[in-house]
Amino acid sequence: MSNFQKQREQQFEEDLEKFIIYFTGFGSSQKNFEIAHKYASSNLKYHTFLDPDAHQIEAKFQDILIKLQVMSRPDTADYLNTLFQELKKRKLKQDYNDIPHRILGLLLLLSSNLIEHNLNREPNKNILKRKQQDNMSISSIESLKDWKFETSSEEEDEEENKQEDIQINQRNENVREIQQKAQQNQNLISSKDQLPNVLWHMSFNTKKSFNEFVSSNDSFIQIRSSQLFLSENQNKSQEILKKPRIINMITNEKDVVIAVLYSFLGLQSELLTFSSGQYQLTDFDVRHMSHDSLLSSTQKFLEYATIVCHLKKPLNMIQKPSLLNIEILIQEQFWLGVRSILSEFDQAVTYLLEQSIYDEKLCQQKVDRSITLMYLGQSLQDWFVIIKQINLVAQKISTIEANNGTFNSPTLTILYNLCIQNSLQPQHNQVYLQKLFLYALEPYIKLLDKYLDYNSTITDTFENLPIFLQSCSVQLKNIGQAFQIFQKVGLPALKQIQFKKNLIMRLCEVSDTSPTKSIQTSLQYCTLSGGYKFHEPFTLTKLKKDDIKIQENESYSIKNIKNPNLIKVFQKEIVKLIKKEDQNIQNILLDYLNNHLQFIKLHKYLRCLFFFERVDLMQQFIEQIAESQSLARLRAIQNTIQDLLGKNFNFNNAYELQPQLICQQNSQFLLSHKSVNFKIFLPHPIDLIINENSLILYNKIMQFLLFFKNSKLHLQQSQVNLKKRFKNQLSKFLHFGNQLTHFITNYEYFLFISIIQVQTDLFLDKVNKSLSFQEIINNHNLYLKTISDKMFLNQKSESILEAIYKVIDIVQNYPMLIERVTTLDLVDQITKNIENMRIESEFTKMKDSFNQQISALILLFDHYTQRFTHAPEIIECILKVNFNQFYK
Amino acid sequence: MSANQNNSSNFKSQLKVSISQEKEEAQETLEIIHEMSQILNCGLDRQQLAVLVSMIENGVNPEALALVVNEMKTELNTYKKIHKQ
Repeated sequence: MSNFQKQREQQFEEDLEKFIIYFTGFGSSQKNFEIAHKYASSNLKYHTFLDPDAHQIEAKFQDILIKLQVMSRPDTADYLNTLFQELKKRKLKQDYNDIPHRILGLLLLLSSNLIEHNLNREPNKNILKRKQQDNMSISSIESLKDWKFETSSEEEDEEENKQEDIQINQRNENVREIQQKAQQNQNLISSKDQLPNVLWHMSFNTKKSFNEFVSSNDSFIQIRSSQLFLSENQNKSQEILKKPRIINMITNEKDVVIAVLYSFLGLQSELLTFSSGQYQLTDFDVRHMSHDSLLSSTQKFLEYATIVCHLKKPLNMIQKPSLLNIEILIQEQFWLGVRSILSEFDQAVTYLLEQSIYDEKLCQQKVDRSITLMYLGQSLQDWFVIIKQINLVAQKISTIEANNGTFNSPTLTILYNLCIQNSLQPQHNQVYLQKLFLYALEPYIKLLDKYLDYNSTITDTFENLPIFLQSCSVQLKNIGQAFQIFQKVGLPALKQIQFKKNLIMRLCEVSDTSPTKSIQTSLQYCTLSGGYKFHEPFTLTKLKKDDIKIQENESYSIKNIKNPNLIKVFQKEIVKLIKKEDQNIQNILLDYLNNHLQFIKLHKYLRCLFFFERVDLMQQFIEQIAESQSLARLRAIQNTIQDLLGKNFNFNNAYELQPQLICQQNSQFLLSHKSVNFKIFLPHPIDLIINENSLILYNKIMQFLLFFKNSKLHLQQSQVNLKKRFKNQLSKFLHFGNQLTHFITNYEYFLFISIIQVQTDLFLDKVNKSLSFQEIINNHNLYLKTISDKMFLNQKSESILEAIYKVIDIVQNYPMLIERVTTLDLVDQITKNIENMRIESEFTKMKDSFNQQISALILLFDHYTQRFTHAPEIIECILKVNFNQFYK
Repeated sequence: MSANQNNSSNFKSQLKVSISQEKEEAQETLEIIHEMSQILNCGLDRQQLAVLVSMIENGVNPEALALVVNEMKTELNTYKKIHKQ
């Protein structure tokens, strides 16, 4: 060892002693001092750190400075930087070039708020390996790995105990780990008991393994396939077997079936609710599904059902006492599920029909039945496919058990049988199957009703259906059961329609000489089958018992009912039916009544029309009667009309009774502009656009414009008269008149061109570009609102409107003044002079007030434009009105 | 003889001055380092810093030194806790 090294060593030892004394406080005589000394010495001498890199330290230091600046401490950063720069200038030992950086590096490492940073590169592994050759160093390092300060003997014992405890705990943990692993291994091996869980999860995830599982007959293979599945999903194997709630709830095969069903249908949320025990198969909620998703889910359901049939075999593996009832359970569940789906089908189809009604309204006059049929046809075709699938599944279920016909749903059995039979013609087959399918379930009574109504006229209802039924009777008889079903369900539907018609006829007191023979035939048909039920509380069966004796050969005539109370009941029932917004019945009634006016009591017909709010028909009817000039008829209906339309109604007004305009005034059309209101009966769907609120706005706008135009008209007339009669005289009146005209014409331009024309163009442009009905409605509302706002007809601009009205009042009063002037020649001189004076004073007042009002108005407009900069029209108006800056 | 004595006394005085200057400079340097440690929140006093700087000047690796310092501090804390209990 050289002197330099010796000196170094000596210096190091001295520094080290001081280091330990200053940092620990131990005296050199203490044992802990020696321990600390050893530790420090070995770690300082035999470390694996590389020499510090000055550039990295510098970079780190700069980062620290930036951090300080970011922490809004720029002064500190500057101060630190200056300190470091100063440190660099200081004279330090020159053994190393980068002593300041080393010191800085040490400080950064000892700093408590800085991010950890390796000032050096990581030690090279090769160097480490070389260093391992130095066993002494390594042993010394290793021996001091678990170094600790020595405590007293008691403390030593406690520490030993603690160490022992720690060791024991560690051993226990190891044992636990081993046990867990063993458990895991056990769990990974799927047993028969685990099959439902695996099955459930397989259905969730992989169809492949599931199909393998299903297709195999051997239980061993099934277990293997499940094992394979688990091994493939090793990461998730714990999850699979530890699945909470759902698997725990699956306690029997039925639950497995249901769980897999839900998983197939993708009804995860329903599955969870099922697992909570609050759900049954029939309750699975398809209400929120769209028509397409409902169809797809039912198809999936049916696919699943076929799989369920296959599943029966694997389920046999599970030895449980309820095994024998599984098939029945499956079937029950299946059919319950089918029924629930089909109940939702009812809602879906009725919704479609409602849509078709809506479409009908859009078409106004022509009932576009093709749309209805399209809706019906489409939906029915889709569901026809599903019915076929149901039948296929039913077949499969039946073949497994070799029990044909043991279904809970006889109708579907019939359908299934019908599908097999090829004797029927294809068109009839489809229609008939559709009808049977509809008849088989109760909600389809309504559907039949609507279907027939859409698909036929009144006569068709009563002619074609019996004929159709007669033609099908042969086929019906062949099947037998189906006919019984039809009798049970289909006939009542037909009878309901007839019942309604009969009530209408009773109301109108149709005579025996009715031309419609088909009605009679259908009545005969109905009577043959006996009394019929009505879904309302009132039933004619009661009637049958009490009042009427029906004979088979006689036609059934409601006229024979003489009991007035029953008549009232009939009337009430018909009102009820009508008020159910059954537009079809309305149309049928009106068509019928229109065709049989000669047989109907006129006043009752009018009441019906009024009830249906068909003012157009009322008007037609009244015109007809007026034209006929039949006093008797007029007397017959006059009272009714007066009751309905008011006592002031005269036949002179009959021709004025336009459905487009009903005047609130009795005789004169325009008493004042504010009393004029337009009431429009618009056909659907325009009444959605021009609704009551928009009518109110329209009336407001129109009233104002009418007033304005009226004033302008009067003004123009007065100016013309003045010019004609007094050509060059009365120039001041003319001049003032010109002023008024100037204002009126410019304000007219403002109203009609700048506001209305522009907004109308914008509105029409938007309407052309709009993609939805709602958009049109919104644009229309905006259009009206913009106009009323710009014309100051809204509540906020009342002051401006008042000012405008004041000006226009002057414009209105001016013609009256001119009239007085023009009639001056007609009076004597004295009155003329007096009148002249009065006129002069009034004229000056008028002129002054006009100037004032206009100035005030212009000021208001100015103020308005300053507040609302998007009012260029007003600015233009002001410029034009006050072009010579006259009104200030 | 007197010139030599003068020279030696001058030298001694110069030496004293230089030593005192060096001391002052060293103190100033330590002050600077102490200021820096205060800003960086190292938790070291002047004595400790002096020792550390001396060790670094003698070639000790700063990272190793920092490691030892931190270990000493933590062990001292645990030792004090045990003693208190």
